[in-house]
Amino acid sequence: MTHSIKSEPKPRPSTITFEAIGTQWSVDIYDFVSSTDLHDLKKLIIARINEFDVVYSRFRDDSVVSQMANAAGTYALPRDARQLLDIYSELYDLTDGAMTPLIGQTLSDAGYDKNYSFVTKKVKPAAKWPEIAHYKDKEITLAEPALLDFGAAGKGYLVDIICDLLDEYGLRQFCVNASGDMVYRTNTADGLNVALEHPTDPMLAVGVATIQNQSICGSSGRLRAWSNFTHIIDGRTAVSPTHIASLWVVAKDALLSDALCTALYFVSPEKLQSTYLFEYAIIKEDFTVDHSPGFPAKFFTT
Amino acid sequence: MSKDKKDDAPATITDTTTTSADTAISQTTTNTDTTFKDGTYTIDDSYQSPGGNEPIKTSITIKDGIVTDTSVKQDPNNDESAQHQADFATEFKSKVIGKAISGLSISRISGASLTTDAFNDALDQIRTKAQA
Repeated sequence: MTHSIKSEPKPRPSTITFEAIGTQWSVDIYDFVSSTDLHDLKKLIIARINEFDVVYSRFRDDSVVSQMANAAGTYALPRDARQLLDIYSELYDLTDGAMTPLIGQTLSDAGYDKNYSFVTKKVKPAAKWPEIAHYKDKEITLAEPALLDFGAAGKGYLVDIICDLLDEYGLRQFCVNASGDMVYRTNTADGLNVALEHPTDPMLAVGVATIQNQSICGSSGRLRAWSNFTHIIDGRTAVSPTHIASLWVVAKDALLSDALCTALYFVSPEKLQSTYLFEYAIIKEDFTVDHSPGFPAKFFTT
Repeated sequence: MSKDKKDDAPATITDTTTTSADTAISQTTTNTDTTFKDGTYTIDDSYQSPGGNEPIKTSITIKDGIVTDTSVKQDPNNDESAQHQADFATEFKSKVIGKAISGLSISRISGASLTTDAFNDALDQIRTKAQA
């Protein structure tokens, strides 16, 4: 799959970098763009991210999600909500409730709260998603106040949304990278090489993946653990899984890759492959690697 | 696995290279009375595949109670089995190792340390405070 792809695209891209949703973004554009275009694009991108964040972020008081945490009822949703809620609902079912937007309260109680206190309070499993939330295209009704978290797929989805924005602007070759979760689009034969970071040492890579008109997203808990928790918590048990050190998913878009990164902590790749088209690589606790035959990477192994 | 159980086992176990026969190591598992001598232990086994009976030979090398090497040799009877066995042989023991990112010709990195600044910064601060 990757052998016919040339390494690293040329020429050097124009780059837009900024910080948003608590993470570093880098947008590399290989098409010719003027400095006016770049300036214009940066404003458009940041405005679009803010439009997303003000709905879905549980880290800002003015978001729709923060309002939902305070009161039950019906809330208007933007056009982009349906796709996000649909994948969460599908994966809720496929993981038997382990992966759920209702993990927000559990994450917050575990210490991953609005203030990043990392002080653990009494932690409870999440309520049942279908009993709490009912949604249609443009609205969602919550049976009780609920702190939702879209951290498992929101960032990937936002990467896709920014790709669509660039596409509508007329651009054809670019990489949108939200700190390691990225999409590379191209109309050339070039592939993009991506180092796969070692689970415990950010100076090291365990392999190099090559993507082309695809997304790669990763997840790892090792460097991000506090007390008994990581950012991944099982909604059924309120426990963080420990059997996986790091994993990556390559798929057509980042919404899917990002969401599957979390789902793979809870169910087998085979079960997810019956519903979705994707490639995966899982570094287990003992650092053995398990990957789908088509995962487009070379791993450094013993 | 013990050489003493040769007669009970469905496969033939052959000790080919015992290097220091007197070294007896206690296992830390529940089988506390089992010891392994240093050496390479080989099992000739077979399994039933949809294409017929397929032989497979697995070896492990033990030194000071630790498995230091493993290998799989296969002599499959059909192409599909050959592919499955080749995949198994390359995958079954591979553990990832790190190479310096600075030495790779890549421009992007995917992994945990980069994922969210706010999260990582807060956690770093709390860890620093905890160590103070």
